[in-house]
Amino acid sequence: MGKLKVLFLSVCISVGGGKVLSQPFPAPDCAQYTVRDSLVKRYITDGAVKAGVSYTDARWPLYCDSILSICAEVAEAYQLKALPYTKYGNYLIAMPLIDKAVLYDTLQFLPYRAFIKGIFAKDYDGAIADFSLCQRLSGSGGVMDHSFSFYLGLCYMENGDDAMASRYLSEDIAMQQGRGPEAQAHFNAWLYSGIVQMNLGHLDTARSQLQKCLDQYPQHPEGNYYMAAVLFRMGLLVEGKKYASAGRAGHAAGYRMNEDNLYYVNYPKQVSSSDFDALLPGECN
Amino acid sequence: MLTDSYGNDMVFGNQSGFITFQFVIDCEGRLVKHVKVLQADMNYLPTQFPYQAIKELYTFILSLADWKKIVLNDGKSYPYHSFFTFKIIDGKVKSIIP
Repeated sequence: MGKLKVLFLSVCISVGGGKVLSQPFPAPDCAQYTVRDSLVKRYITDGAVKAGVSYTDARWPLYCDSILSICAEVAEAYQLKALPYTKYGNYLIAMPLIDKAVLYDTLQFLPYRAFIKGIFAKDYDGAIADFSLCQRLSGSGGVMDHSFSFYLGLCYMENGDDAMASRYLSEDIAMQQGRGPEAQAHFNAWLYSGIVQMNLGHLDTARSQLQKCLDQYPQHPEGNYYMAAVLFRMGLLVEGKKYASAGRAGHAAGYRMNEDNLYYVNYPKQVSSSDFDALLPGECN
Repeated sequence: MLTDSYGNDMVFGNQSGFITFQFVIDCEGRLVKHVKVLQADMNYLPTQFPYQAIKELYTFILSLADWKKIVLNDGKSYPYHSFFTFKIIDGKVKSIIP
């Protein structure tokens, strides 16, 4: 009993008389990048991820809030918290969070917001405004594997301004080709540029650009689909059907545009099996 | 195209914004009629579209069949969340997300 008393007293002294209670833990310097980064590591990389909590889990926002309760300026925490809402179309909640991320780290998250507006929300005017600002702030940068010019081209194309779309997509292709003698432009850059040329009625240019897409990725469903559409418009029905059949076979075999977010959202001009059915009426796989 | 057939006859007035329907597809590939509706304007702020417009879009969603079944590596079928967002510009359905 005597020993227990001593132990109890020693615990009381260590808790009651310790520095923890008498001197509060010093607040972290949230202005330091390393502090903000370590919080993301602590609560996301070493927290949620190690606990098997993905962004689809109801506990995910709690991990993000843990960061924000310590440092309210961690831009990445807002972006991570917005993830599930973005993916499920809840822009009411997602956008104010992404806006906060942009507020606290504009250079990193303005391109992300522009991408979300352009590809996810199909808010092309909003995306054009953001991507244009991205270009002014950081020049020829990019996001999600493509340049700002690429996305500007897509947004203008979707807004029906093919002349501006052509300008930006050409800029994107020239930038990629300018990286070195062996540098190739991305097959989807050729795809969209080809589609825009087709819209403008420049069928020969469209054909040659879509061919460059297919040279890199012969099964590309959209590449084949729009090549077929161009050839049909040129009156080359037999040749067009070959591409349409190749595209349909590629699509049925599971080939897609190979963009990272295709799992969550349809990209502009993306085609489905019913589009091939319409292109090849009466023909089966 | 749905965006062609819907819009002109619908009752959105001149409103613009996003109407999102979140729902669950069950193990048998059927839509579970427990749907959450979210409405935002073009600035991503809360708004309200006319009830009749929401009802018509909901009816359209219910008319869709052949939902994919999700079968994972264990061979079992699982329910999943899905959604449709209708982007409305000046009272017309301009695009459907995803």
